[in-house]
Amino acid sequence: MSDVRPDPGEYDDALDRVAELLRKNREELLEIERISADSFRLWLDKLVQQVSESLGIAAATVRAFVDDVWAILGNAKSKFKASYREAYEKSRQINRS
Amino acid sequence: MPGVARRLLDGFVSAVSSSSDMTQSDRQRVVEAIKKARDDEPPPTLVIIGEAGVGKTTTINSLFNAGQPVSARRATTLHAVSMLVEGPVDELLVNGARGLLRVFDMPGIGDRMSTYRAYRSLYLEVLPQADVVLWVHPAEDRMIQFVQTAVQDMFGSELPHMLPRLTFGLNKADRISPDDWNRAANVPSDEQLENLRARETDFTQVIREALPAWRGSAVTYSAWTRYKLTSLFKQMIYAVPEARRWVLEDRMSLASFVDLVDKGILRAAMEKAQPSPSGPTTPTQDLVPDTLATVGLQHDVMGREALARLKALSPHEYKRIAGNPEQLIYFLYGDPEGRHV
Repeated sequence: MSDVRPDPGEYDDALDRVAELLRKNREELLEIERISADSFRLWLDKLVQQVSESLGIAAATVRAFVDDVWAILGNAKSKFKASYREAYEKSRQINRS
Repeated sequence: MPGVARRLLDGFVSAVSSSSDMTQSDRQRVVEAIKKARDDEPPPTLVIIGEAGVGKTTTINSLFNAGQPVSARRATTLHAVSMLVEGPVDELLVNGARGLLRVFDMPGIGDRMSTYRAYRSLYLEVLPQADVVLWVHPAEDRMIQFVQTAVQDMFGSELPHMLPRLTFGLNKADRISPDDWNRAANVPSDEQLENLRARETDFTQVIREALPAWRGSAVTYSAWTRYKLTSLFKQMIYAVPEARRWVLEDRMSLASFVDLVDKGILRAAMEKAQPSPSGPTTPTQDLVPDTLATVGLQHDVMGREALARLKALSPHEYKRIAGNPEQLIYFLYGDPEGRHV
């Protein structure tokens, strides 16, 4: 891509626009992450009965286990939200040559 | 880093020892059953509609790093092209691909209803298979009355249950009038930005006139300059059935628009856009219990086990792991890539 800079008068506007895109990009990635986590939990909830039947373990027990583990993982993630998400965002934006 | 669902599920493997109401063996069986169900989950199915040359393949590549060859297809082809797309190795993050996508590459209808009539049965056959339908249209092109008629027929009359799956991407945002994209900053000019916003509003309104129940919004983007790919993906993931959204996110691998921004501009912009720092500071060995408290492990079995493991580390290793949230989480819950932390 060209390394020609915009005219001095346009520089600040361009800077603001890139900064705004970066901010929006970050917010949208966080939203996508949240959507995905909610979706996965829904999928897990639907799976409980199937797992219960296939393994012969009471559905309530399987559900309690899933709830337990989910709470632990969710707590860990929320505590590290900023840095964890930063790593996540970085990982989902792939540099291509 | 793998997708959200993959990381959460892999976390189960380590967290399995902390659950109380089942035997260790049963917990392990449950986790294995869940992992198998995840692996057996069918890949996301994307139906992408658009004229030859509108940028469908480039769009797929820019959203999923799919590495598909870009080639124009004859607009008169009367069949859908189904391809299993497997992303290449992501050298930055993982040793494997992000996984399979099922993509139906569908011909657009151009500016003639006769074309739509020829393709109609094909659309009606393929569309019900979709997790998400992405209709790609050039941002600059205002001739959308045929699109309006076609979507009304397909999603309003024939397949109304598929309406929530429908999304519109207005590609080639960088080419919109007056075609003066700021290439150094990789952003639209003021006038382009104004036109792009107007196009999104107008296009969305036209589609809603045809399909009042449609709740989406058209997104202007540029697969070529990677502009607003995240916005497009967000629209797409909302269109996927709720319990399948994580499958699409699991494959997400967006091309970064910042790679095409002048480095000087990017540095200055990143300083402006930087959120206030809130991550943990680098701890010392004395802070081990506090470190665990921040991840909520202080008072349970797993916390005690993790504490013992952390205390066994050398100061150097402890600093490396506890000072990096991702490393610490992997240390506590297991690294989904199977690497040793």
